[in-house]
Amino acid sequence: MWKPQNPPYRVIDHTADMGFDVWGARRKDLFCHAAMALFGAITPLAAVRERDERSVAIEGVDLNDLWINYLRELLYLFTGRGFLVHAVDISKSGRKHLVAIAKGEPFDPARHEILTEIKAVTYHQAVVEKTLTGWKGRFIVDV
Amino acid sequence: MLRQLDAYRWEIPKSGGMKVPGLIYTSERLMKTMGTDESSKQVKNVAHLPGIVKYSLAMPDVHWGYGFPIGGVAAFDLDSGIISPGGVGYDINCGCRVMTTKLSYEEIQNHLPELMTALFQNIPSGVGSTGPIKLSHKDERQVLTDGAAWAVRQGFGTPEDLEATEDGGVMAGADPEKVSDRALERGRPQLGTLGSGNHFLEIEIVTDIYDEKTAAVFGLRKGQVTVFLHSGSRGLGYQVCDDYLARMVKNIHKLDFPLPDRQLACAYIATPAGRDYLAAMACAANYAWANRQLLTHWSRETFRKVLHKSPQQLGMRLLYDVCHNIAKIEKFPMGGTLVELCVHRKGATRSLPAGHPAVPKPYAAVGQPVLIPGDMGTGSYILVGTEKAYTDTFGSACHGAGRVMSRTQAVKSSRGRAIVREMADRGVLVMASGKGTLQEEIPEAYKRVDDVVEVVHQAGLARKVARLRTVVCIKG
Repeated sequence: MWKPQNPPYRVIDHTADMGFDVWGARRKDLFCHAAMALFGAITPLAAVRERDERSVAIEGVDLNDLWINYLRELLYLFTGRGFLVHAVDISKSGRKHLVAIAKGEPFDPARHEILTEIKAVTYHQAVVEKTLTGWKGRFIVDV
Repeated sequence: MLRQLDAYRWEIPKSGGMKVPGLIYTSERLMKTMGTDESSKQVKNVAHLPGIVKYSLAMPDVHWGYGFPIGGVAAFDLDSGIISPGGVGYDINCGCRVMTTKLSYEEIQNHLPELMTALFQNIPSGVGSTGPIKLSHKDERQVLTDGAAWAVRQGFGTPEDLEATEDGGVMAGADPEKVSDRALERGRPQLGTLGSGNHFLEIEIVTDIYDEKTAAVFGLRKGQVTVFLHSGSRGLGYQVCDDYLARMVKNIHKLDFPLPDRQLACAYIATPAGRDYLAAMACAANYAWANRQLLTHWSRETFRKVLHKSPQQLGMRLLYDVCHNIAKIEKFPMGGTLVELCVHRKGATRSLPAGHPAVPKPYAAVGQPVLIPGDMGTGSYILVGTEKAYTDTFGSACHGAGRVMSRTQAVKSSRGRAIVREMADRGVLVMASGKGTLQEEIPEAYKRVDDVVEVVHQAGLARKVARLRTVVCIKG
């Protein structure tokens, strides 16, 4: 289990936009941590309560594609549905499909400060790979 | 890798899977900032795409982008070529427009803070901002098919505004059925908002006239007050790009050629995927034009109320509106005949010469106005289209200054600095909705627009007409 001062992800620099390097012990963990990286950049996660759930079912042509489609779907929960995600529970996960529950609550301008407007998750440098110690992934977003 | 052809052009010779050479318009000075990112590699990648004609081009403000570089221009044969959402950009029809006025700087000098506050209040801006327009599903579809004309019909402008807009403010072939429910959902509440980041609404003063004859035709004069607007298709355009990239990536394995970069995901123009994207892109383009038309109207109203002047006294006339993220079907001379091509301009502005049918009649004798915004501390340029751009770059020129510093670097560089104060000391009043916006948008984060425009001017892609200085800047 990671500690708040050592999040399992890191923001990376990019001329026009923003990127994230994420890691996790298992592939499921990697995907959960990626959700936190994404939403942590949108708003301080501490203020997002797990009052509600949204279920997502994702497919991809390969693991990298699945990774990006998953993040795109989560981003849409906010940009299209006004739902902020605090954490994700992955119930089914393969290399080309996954099913998950996103826990969070509707965006409330009185309590949630928007730090960055993330407009899209791109395919640029998108990668998910197994390492000696677990899994790591990268994704770049357009801000 | 780069071979210098002349003072302003560098070629990437054909090698490996490249179908055409790359051609970068730049200068020695600007090259220094280019070396740090991968934009020349991206220019090379684009040259691999099927049906590409003549060159994979880059304008002097080129910088790294998704798949295609920003500042990239590439034209494709309609039968054998591809269309790529990455070659248009996420913010479909991000573009700008300039309004001239009868006012001179002295007349508004004492009203600047008031104008700034009023504009800031009347023009919705910032992250997640929603506009005052309540659109039904049916209304939204009309916006997507009719563009700026929809806005004018609702009373937000005049027919003259449409004549002074690229494509008359509406792109043909728009089909709302090709736009996903998600994109429609994102777009519906955002119509009539400025956006965030580098989008802006500025009051700018004409400081220099370089071409008296063209300036007179454009209605520009020294000391004149103008309004410069930069905005795009908001969440709708982003979602359209997103949706079609996903669709095309899904079919990557069906392509009969290797893709150097997944963000270059594309489809042959002459396929359902290609045609559907063009139809959806046209919808997003129309949304952006309707949006800019609304913002124009509210700017006029704001000036009227604050300055207590009638529309006649204000004379706020639309000079021109240009897109700089778009794909267009246009005709260009190739080997003695006019050939119809699909031109991708991603962070590039159309630049057409005198006499070209797409240039509005009032400007027929001089050419198309080319509007180039700079960073918030510097100001902008107005240029005019040329014959050289028409023959050499598929009628294209640069679009602005281009970033050289990441947002993180810019914020770091801003630490401990009072940006609002610094801008005020430079004579620019700024106001932004977002906390971090000004830090991210500091002038040093961008190339110098003077350098970029100088290359465009010297290379003959557009000719300098006037220089404008920012006095008020509203950002999201």
